[in-house]
Amino acid sequence: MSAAAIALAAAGALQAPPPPTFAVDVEGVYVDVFVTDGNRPVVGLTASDFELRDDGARQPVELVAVESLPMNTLLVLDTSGSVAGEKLVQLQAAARALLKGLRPDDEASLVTFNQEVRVRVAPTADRTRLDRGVNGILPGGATALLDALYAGTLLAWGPGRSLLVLFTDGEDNMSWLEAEDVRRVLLQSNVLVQAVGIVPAADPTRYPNGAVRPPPEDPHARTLRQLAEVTGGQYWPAAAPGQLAGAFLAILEAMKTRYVLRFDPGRSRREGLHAVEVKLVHRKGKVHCRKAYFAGPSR
Amino acid sequence: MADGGRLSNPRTGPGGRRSKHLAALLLLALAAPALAQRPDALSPAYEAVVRRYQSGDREGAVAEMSGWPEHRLRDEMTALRALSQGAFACPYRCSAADRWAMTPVRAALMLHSDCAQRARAHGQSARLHESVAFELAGFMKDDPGHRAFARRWYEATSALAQGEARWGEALDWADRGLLAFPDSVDLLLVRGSIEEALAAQAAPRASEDALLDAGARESRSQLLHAQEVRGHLESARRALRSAVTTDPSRAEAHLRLGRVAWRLGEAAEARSVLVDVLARKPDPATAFLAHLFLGRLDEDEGRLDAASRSYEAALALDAHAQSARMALSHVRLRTGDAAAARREVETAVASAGRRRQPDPFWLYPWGPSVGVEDRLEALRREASS
Repeated sequence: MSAAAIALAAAGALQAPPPPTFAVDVEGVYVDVFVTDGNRPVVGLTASDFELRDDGARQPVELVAVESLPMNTLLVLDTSGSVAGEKLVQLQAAARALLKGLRPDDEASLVTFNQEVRVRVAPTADRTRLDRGVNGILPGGATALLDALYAGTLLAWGPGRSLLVLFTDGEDNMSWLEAEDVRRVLLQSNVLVQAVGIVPAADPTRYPNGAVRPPPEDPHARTLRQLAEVTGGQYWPAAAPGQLAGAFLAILEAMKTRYVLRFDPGRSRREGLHAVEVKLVHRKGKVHCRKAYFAGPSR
Repeated sequence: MADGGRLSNPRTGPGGRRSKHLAALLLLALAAPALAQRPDALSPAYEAVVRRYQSGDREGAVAEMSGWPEHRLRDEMTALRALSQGAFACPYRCSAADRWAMTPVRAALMLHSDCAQRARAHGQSARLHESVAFELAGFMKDDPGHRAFARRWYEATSALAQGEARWGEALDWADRGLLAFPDSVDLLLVRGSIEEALAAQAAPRASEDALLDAGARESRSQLLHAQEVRGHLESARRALRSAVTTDPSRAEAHLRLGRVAWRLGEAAEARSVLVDVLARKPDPATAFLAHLFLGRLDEDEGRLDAASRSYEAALALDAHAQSARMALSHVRLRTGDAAAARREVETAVASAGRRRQPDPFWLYPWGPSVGVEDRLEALRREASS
């Protein structure tokens, strides 16, 4: 990617369709929870298996049937120059597979980014439109990953269940925002981020005594993991483009085995950032969920 | 052979004694068979392909020269080296000086530059033609008649490498250029902006968050990365300070110095430099970036109203710039106005794909490489005029 390529990308993009807009609505506190035992999801839990603390105060929770909650899915896909070729073909196939796996009434939208963040398809349940948007992706340009994640989070932020599936194949080299800026925003939002990255697996080395020493985590993979985990999501590495569809479908499957806890902080709730902690009671398992939520002004 | 009206003698400079040169040319033609054996004589085949480039058939000349084997090029370089040494050793004038003056070294330099570029475009090694070009530039920098051309070539070549993200080469070439031209602001800007980019690239490996959740071995490695980031930034600052000292009127050098000071955590210096940039009434893109960077300083210091004003000032210069719109959205969110933050994001994505010129922030990492092809083309035209 060069300055000249950025200039061309800017000039070549003038024929884009009019941008869609999103509605704004903020309410309720939903905490999306994923429970694992080892690598396997734990299923069959009830509300009484969970203990939730809001700023340290225990809150009664109800378990919302996942099937009853509409899920808004936002695909935020890296379309920088490095995605061209086989990666793009596999990415498009993975995105279509994920969209196909959504429930018919679930809405989805498509945001792409290179140095610029662009809404390709506004929220819709029309799979044909979404597929067309995915098929129309043309790679080129640099990578403003953090700006795209920030924009996607604000656009997806709303009532109910919001899933943001982020894909990138490389490091950010064009964002205005810093990772810490975005981390703070994710902490406040109710958006669940699942990040998929293509990062070739490094070979493990050995300690002098012969024991296997795992390779250090790739710094970009670490950033993605940390950003996803802030929201209760995960980082899904793909060592090669051919593994993308598997990662996207695994995210979809994980969404079906998640629990959505709902609680009402009451009218006297404090505005601002609240620490939230979820534990299992009398059950074994690791709880993955967001560590905080942001309470806006009461409506 | 002559360099299109830019004849130069290393001792006397360009022009002058044109009739004597013509006489010398005549003598050279008469003595051609004997000269072919001289160690400082270029082969007729080499001269022919350089002439071909000089006459305007650049593509043909580059294709032809690209097929030359290394040993033949080495022979030509040996001859050129001997010729330049002979010419520069003359106390006043001599046959070597005359022959050097008649040699179209500018065309040869651009020919080998283009051959190197062609090799890279074909995924081949450009090393041979690059080394020939650098050797030629090295001869030319000592010739008053070609010195300015050589300087512009160093500046354009290092900027080209920067524009193609060949940062190691760009730094190496900028350093070679700076040895000959320590007062070249363009070369200092190449150095400063690449060090800045290298620091940004290394930054994720040195983040505080990473430090917190890492094991001891990784923590040590991240501390080293933090030192690496600081090293790049300090190197950038040295280059940029030299640039502003050399030419205080270059707003870009001041702007980058301010940004680097911010990255080094020296907010007061950063603010002072950026305010000074705006006071100089720079071009709109530089003013846009100065407002943007000042906004970030304000944000860091918790002065959110001032940050909003800075970002709005940037947007007043470029209403569709996503960078400034994202910045404004973020500061709106920090003030607790999530709805306004979202509206700014909607406005930002609404302008996507509608720009005729890139957002100045997108071009910032590329430094002086922006527009380098035009500068190279100007050099090519001069070399073949």
